Amino acid sequence: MLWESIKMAVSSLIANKMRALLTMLGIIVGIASVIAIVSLGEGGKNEVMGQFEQIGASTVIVQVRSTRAQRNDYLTQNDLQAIRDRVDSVKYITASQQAVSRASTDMARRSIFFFFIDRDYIRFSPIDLVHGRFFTEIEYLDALPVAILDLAGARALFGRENAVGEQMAIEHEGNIIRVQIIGISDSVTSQFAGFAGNFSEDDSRGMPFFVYAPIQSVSQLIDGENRLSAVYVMAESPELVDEAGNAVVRLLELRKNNEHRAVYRTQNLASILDQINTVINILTLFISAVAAISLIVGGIGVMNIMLVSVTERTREIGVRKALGATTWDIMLQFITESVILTLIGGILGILFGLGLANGIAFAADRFQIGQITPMLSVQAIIIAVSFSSAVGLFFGIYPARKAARLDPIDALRYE
Amino acid sequence: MDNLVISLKDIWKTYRTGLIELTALKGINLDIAAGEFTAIMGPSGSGKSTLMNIIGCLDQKDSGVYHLNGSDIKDLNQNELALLRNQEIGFVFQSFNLLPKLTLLGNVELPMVYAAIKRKERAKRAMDALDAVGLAQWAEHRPNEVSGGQKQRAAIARAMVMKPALLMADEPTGNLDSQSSTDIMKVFQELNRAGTTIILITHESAIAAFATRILQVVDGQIVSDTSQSRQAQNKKAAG
Repeated sequence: MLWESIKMAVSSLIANKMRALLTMLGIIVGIASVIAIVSLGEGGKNEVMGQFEQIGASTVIVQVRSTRAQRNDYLTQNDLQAIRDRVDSVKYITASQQAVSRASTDMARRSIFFFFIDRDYIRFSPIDLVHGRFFTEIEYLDALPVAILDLAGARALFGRENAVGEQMAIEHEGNIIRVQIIGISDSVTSQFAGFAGNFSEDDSRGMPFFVYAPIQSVSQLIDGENRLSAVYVMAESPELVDEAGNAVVRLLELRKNNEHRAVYRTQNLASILDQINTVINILTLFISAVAAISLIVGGIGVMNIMLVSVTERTREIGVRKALGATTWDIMLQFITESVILTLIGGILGILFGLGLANGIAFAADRFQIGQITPMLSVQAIIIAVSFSSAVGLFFGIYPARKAARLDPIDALRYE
Repeated sequence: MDNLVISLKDIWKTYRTGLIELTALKGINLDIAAGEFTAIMGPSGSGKSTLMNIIGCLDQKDSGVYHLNGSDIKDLNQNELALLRNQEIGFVFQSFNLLPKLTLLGNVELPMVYAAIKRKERAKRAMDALDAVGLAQWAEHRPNEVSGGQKQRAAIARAMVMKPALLMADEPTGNLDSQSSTDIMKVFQELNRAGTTIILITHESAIAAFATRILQVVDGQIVSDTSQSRQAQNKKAAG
């Protein structure tokens, strides 16, 4: 009987294609918006997770709260050394500073993303070398004028990949330093693509090149910029991550005598993920509320159309009853129809939602806002499909009951 | 008693709409034996439709005793009535009442769908029923593609496909021209000769003449009950 009901429902929907499609619209919009936000959220979460996985579970970031900090509260190399020497739970500590500068050679003049990195930086975020070598201890300590350039930069600035041994000038707000290239790194493109568009007015390709230099050389280029607002701490093990973070904060507060102002805060992978999840969950909740309204409105639309359909088919119902259809047979027929209506709406909604998510992701990529690959779990699909079917079931019951309760004599007489 | 398909004893039926009470049937007594071809005649408002609805298990009596094919029809709910209609009664209506979206074959299959008969058997039996009324080659056509007479033949095939104890026809020729009407009445006669019990509701005496027994209903009561021989029946129908 169910199979017969499904056949009847499908043929009835096919007979009224346009009406069916319009009726589904509310369901499609509701499901599509939820699917879009869930898949973008999931994809975004994955993307961020991927980035933070490099940092790893043992890493804690100690930050200076800029709103509470005085000049002395910022960290120096001496503070880093003190942490290295005195906090047992700390395995590595490092820091980095960034600047957008210009590099020039005989060949070209280009925007660069200048990374001043400290010892052990590569323990936190690897730099893959394709030519040359990393900085030595001496180069770090004495802030020697050496740099590592990425492949794309080497091509643009020197016309070849292996530019080890060459020199280039780097300029930042009137200060100029000359550095020697000691290594060539693989290009870092994807993660920072978002930044890129904003500051590369002289390079139509948009992508700035990455240049790394020992952290202490930052003061030679940028006036008074040797204070650090964040350091990366790697604990001896993931279990010690909180202990290491707290120990670093305590030591810093002792050294700066600023315990009462709570200038420092720690963030680790878990707390960052928590924050991201919170944001995504709030967003999902908000969109879900909008979608729920849309589904309710859509459901009422379905109910409305089913009531029209029952009235239109009063005579048919009478005939079916005369031929032996039970109350349940009629009920099943109309409920099946409304469930199939919303089920198809749900499936179309999933497809539109995925399309929407991919469209948004494409636009975000195109306008360099960020890179997200929408992800849709089987669970989300199952929930969407069952939810849309449930809407059909719920809003289909009333019209179906109305149909099933029709008096066969009245129904047969209906013109 | 054994060969009685219908046995009505003192059947009363009153309709209430607001303050108005209308007694449609006032103590109907009627026995119809298996194989009878009965025409029920009467002006509109006479109660003949109510009588048909009660005999056809579309409606229930207020009081009295109704035996259909030996079983007492009382205190049945809608689903039990539906089952009875499905198993025991075939309906033919004035306006055909074929479902427009289904083919003739699909329409004839419908009662078997509700009897939960398997698809293969359904198709075979429906085809046989259509063949019996000469519509085998029209099986895949929709009702709007065939003539009125053909529609009514398909409706008869649908009514007969469950092999009911009783075939009920409510003004079956009301929407047909005279040639088609005669054709359809001949189909009923053939079915009757093959043993089908038929009740025909009509207000045309020319149509009633095809029956073997004619009842006149006036004001909720049977006022006359006349039987005629097959010969007379044939003569009248021919004339």
